[in-house]
Amino acid sequence: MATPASWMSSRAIALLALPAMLFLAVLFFYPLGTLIAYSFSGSGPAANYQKILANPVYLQILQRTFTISVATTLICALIGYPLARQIVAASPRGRAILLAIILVPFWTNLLVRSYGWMIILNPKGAINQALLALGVIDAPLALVYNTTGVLIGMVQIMLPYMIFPIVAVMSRIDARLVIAARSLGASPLASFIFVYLPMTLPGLMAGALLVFTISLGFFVIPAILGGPRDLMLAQLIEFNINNTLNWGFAGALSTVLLVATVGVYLVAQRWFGLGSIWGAIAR
Amino acid sequence: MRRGWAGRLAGAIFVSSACVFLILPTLIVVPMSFTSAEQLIFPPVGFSLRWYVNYATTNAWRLATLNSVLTATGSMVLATVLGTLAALAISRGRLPFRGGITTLFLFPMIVPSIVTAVAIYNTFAKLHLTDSVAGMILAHTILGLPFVVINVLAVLQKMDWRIVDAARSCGATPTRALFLVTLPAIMPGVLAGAVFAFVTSFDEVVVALFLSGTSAMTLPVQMWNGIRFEINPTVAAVSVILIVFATAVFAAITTLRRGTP
Amino acid sequence: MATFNSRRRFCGQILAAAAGVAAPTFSARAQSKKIVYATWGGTWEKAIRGAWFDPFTKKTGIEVVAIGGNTYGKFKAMVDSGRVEWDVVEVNPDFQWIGQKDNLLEKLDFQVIDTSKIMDGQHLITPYSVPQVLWSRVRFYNTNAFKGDNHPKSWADVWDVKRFPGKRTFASKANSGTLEVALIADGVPMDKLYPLDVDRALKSLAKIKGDIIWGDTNAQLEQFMKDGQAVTGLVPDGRALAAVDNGAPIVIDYSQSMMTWSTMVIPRGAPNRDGAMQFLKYAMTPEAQAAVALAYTYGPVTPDAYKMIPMDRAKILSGGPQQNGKYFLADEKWWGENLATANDKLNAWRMA
Repeated sequence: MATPASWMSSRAIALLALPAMLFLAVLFFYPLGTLIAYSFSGSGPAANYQKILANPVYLQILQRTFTISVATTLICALIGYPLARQIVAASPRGRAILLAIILVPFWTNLLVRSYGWMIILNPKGAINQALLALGVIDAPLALVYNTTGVLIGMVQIMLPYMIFPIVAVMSRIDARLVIAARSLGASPLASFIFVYLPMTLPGLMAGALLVFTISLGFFVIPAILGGPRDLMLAQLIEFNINNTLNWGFAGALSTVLLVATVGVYLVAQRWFGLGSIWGAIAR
Repeated sequence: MRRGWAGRLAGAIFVSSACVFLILPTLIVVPMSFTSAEQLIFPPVGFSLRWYVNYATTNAWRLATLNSVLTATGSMVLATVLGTLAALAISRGRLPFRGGITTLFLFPMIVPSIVTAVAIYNTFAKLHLTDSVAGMILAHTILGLPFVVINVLAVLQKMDWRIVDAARSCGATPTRALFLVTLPAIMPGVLAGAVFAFVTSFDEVVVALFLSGTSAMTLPVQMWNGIRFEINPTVAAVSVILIVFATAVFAAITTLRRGTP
Repeated sequence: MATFNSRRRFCGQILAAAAGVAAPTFSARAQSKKIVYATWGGTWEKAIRGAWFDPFTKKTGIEVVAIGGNTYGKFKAMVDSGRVEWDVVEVNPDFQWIGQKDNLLEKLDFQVIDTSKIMDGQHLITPYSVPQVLWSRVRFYNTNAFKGDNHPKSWADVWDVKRFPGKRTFASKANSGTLEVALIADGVPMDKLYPLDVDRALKSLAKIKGDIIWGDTNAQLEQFMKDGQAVTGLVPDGRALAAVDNGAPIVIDYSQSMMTWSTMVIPRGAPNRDGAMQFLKYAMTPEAQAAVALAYTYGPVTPDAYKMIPMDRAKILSGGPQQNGKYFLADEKWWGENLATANDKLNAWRMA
């Protein structure tokens, strides 16, 4: 295909990233680098890291953190994608109402929300009382102070982050492409899987990225709604920063989290072809 | 696509359940804000507006609200501008290590906020940016940037660049093409990013706690202080006020923007 | 240093000016006769404003400005950066060592602060800190679950799930007394607890592991007490008293209770160090201690204060007559040095 006249040299466009990069470099990366460097201090340069490897508890916590984040992402995708579809297909008024409802959790302070869940989910709370009264269950369900509670709390908080990017991408899709596929004989399921879904993939991937990443750093929800098995890495980091003042160790834990997360991105990129996220050129 | 009534009913049930799920804990908080007790307990005791009055009349709460609004607006604007430009550069510019640079922009989101808070405190203190709204805006811009970049990048994938070429070949300057053609095309992504940046700042407590002082307290910090010892019901009242206000603003914007998706 | 975009700074200043908030200038606060007191906030802050701040200001003319957010992380970040905003800070006693280890505290001037009236107790006073108020962790039991005289009367009883069935609640942080009472239930006498044998404590806890409901926050502990999810356990006395006030069907038992205290320190580099010393001097007088004991359910650190406290108030305070001879003092120095390792062990055990 003939290259069209570019509207601005690609070099010049690349420079547009400069303000943001400088901003982050000075105010974020330089300070972060200092903290990471600090993690190499102590009784030996690798002392903090050896501590992490030596004690299986830390690796257990890291693994649990990833598991809970992946689970949250999957659940959010399963609920969020159809919900986004409904939003885009709704009338303008319906869309506005749905978007407002999705934004409502955002305006509620996180601690207050967690407290609300604690009240709703506990064995003597609203849900269990209702189910018991209806005779659906015999004994109260353990819905809180365990992984179920953590997932419920986290999904509720993360859903908007999943829904919005998907809606943004879906609203830019040319619906006629699906109609064209149908008119060529494709079944509804086929046209969805092979035409619609791939077109919305960037939104889904963006939402998954957001949810997964934010979940990794969460500690309020696991602390309030979780049980002893649900200790997440950010709680441990917070403990070392605010209770024992062991900043070297906290820095080491953070670095491990960073490296592991970036590693997951690279793997996902290779397996799921997330090149679309990194802005592969469309032509 | 036409679906049978069963499909539509299932769809409706699904959407309503999801909506209930999303607002349930908030709904619980509403009656609790009217409690006359000194603590946030459930079920609420008595009925009183004293916590709303407390919010409206206490100087600390009013100042915190003003600070939060200023900080969130400022950081939203800054993050959206910087982030959109960066996303454009990543998507269309000739950047080396494009994947790496994109990942770098995501770091503020990956690093737990407590670590960010501790890390940037020293730098901000040396630059005299602690205990000031300006410093808070800059700090929250850091946190909001990844959201803008991700959302704008996602929409840029779907962008048909030929319309820009068409505009240029009709004689538009690069800048006009940017503002009149590109930006409207990617607007849903920009708006999504802006909303996230705003909300992230408005609800952010960890970094704000570190950077706040006697003068630059934000609403979440004020709420958090009201929660440490026992949960002050004013916090619940503030939540209700925020929801009502935000919904009203949202309704106003949507009615004004009739016609645009 | 790295290039800093001066345009952004300019914009920042415009914004700051628009918001009417200027970048802070650190004028010598000593001359402005004001100290900043970092507190846990809430109703406690209201109590000390009436009991300490206002009388102190009347006496010395020094204004006390209260501010929240007194986390250790911020404390260290502030002192490390050299721009300290606080003069007096409330902390937990483990900070007496944790803070000192990182060189974050000012040495106290005991020529100014009179510590002669403070009760005897190991590690209550250090060169860098004074105790603030006393509080305790106590046993409670639910009167609906245990009627009449058939209730747990000791920690060994709490470990007897057959005679006293139901869930027990403990706080999940290692230094919440959980390990200590596990050792007592295992037969260790109260004066031989420290240094804690953490492994033995965990083995003891393992006997009732399935019946424990852990409280990660004090609010949770209070909720468990109130709605009966836990029928007995170890809780802060202030929370238990609040639950009783709110109608919870529980009784507080002071036997084998753990007494501890909260601490006040001065950050190194505090703007008004002299004013801070004056404040601490005032807070250590029996009058001030009596005032705060009347305003909030914490015990005075000066026994003389009890002369000014009526009996029916005294018997719900830590260190009051009802607790005489029935408590052990937490060894906060051991905790200051061993919190990290003990917490790791407890977490590992809880997760298994």
